[in-house]
Amino acid sequence: MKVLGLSSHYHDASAALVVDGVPVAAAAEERFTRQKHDPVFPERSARFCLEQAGLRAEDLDLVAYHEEPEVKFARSLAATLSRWPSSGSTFVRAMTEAVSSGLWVRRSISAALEVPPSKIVCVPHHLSHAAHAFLTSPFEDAAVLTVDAVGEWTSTGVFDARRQGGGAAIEPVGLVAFPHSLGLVYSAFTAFLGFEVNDAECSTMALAAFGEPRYADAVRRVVRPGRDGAFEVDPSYFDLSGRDDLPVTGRFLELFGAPRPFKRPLPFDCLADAPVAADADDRRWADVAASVQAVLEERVLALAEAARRRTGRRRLCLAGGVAQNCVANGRLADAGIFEDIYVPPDPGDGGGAMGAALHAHLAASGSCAPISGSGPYLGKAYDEAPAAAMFERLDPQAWQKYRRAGASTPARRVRVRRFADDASAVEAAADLLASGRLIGWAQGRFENGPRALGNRSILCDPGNVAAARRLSAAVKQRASFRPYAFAIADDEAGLALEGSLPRATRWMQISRRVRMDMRARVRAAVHADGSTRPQICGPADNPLFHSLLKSFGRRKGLSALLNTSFNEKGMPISSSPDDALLVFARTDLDALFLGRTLVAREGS
Amino acid sequence: MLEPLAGGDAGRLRWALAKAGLLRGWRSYVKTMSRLGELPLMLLLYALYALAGSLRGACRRRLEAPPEEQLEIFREQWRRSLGPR
Ligand SMILES: [Fe+2]
Repeated sequence: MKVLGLSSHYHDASAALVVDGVPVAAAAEERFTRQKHDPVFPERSARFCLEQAGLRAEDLDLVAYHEEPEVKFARSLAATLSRWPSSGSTFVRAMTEAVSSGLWVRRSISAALEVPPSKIVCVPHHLSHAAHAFLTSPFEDAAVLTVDAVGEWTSTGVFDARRQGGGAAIEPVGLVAFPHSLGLVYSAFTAFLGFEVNDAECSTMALAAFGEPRYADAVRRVVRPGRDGAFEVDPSYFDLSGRDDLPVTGRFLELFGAPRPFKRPLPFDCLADAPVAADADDRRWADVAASVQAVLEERVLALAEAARRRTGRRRLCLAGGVAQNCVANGRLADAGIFEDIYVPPDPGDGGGAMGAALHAHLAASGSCAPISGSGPYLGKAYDEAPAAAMFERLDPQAWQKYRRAGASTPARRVRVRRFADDASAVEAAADLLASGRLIGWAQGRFENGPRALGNRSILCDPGNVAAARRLSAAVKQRASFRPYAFAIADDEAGLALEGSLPRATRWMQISRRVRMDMRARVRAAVHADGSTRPQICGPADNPLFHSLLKSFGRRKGLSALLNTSFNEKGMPISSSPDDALLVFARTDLDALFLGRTLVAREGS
Repeated sequence: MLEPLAGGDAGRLRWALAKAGLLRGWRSYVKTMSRLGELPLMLLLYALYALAGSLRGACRRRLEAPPEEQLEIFREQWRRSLGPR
């Protein structure tokens, strides 16, 4: 049975193809349109999924959408009517959006893919998340916790999931309903801290490491603990009218002070050896970030305890936007409520497309695929030869004016070299990395989801702080308070990292502390609080990347590489060789591996 | 179900909403409304908003339904998603 899953209309529109219960292709629309978090109808990613499997739309048995548009519309209607008459402008905006597109998802899917409406099913949003988390997990049974902003009426779901007789049951056993939402609260604080909502929640999390949770009691007034793991959000702190970019009221500002202007730089620096000077406002914002992070962790822990009590399961699957908070996931792992934790590579709404398809397949066929541990490498693979050949003939002066501010190396002619096999490409890359070079590493199919996991990565020596500073300034334009992370070969992970290493560490979804005696070896990829978000990579996860890690380890003693996503600031991660070459041309990246082809500036 | 809505009087509209499951799923009600097409639907929505003073209470009750009831509504949604379409 072939099921195409789709998500759209909020952010991170995506498509995923599931054949007989196995995910075979998945990608976010942004990877093709090059618009970060693109919410449009995922037509390009849907076409890619079909092409990847050699299918046409008429071969599909079902198309599954990640939420029920009518139910979502009803919630939006009820929410605005309940605030009558002050919700006039929200009403106009919400209804116009719904009536002009959101409500007619079935029709747009049917028209875009030319599938009959009878083949289109809409899956409740949190069920999409739950099916995604559980059915891609390596567990026979688990509690599933889905935490996000809002899907239809639900903001948080608890499920009891088990595989049985070739199928699976994923049963809702608890929920928290809109408007009580951890995702919405965290996003409101993200806006207050001057970061972009639905994009830079990770900046709030990063900033938290520089603060003290002095405002935790104040945040607990905004999000009050309820019974049995639930919570209540006090609506008097939030202004949902949309009149202002900042969705908070005067009452909120009385508690937390003035918001941070988004252009004001923050002085904090993860790579500094001693704390940097920060004025009272900067410290206050860091303290507010630390406080909202601390309260989020308390709430997630309470939810996990409730999930454990209600289901009796010993393993946990997490999904929803809040499951991307790797620091909260780390707290959860350390709390020992569950023996193991799994977070899929794309726990947010992008993953909802795959979840919808998995659920629809399960509901229609009564069966699911056996545990396979489908990885993140479900995107598109490209032939790099034409792009590399074109690039070799380019005049370096021609692209000079397109270079990024901060990129310093004058454009030099590039040389292109093709290696006969993977092993020699890996050795050449390891040599460059060991000598302090910044390299782009684009291999095979791109990763599904927001993390670069060794197929579209920018890499450097994690012990080389100067290289990381150059990476931030001249390639990534990255704020100094945001940490890097490292990938490490699985057999050496225990040498560098403390505590348990649950499944979630495979896909960079969980924060771990770096052992004191190893911090210098990976200094450039450790946060101010001594933590990192590791990718623990085994030969079965990604053989080529694993061999690169080991090859680097033979030169430097530890098989770990600073691993960050292959993109410039504000851009989606590179998909095609053209995207990768553009980053190479515009920034100070020293070398670029496209498959076995090395593109390097002369003299690098 | 369209009849009382087309009648347009507030009492019957309210009744229709309640009957269509304002306090429960809302789904079938919205599905029916959405068959109207864009323009009539938009007009209906504006009319609804004008009458919203009398609907506010019902909407609040749905939003503030106790957790057990919210869960039961979601379980209905879940059961429907497993059933024949
Ligand atoms: Fe979601």
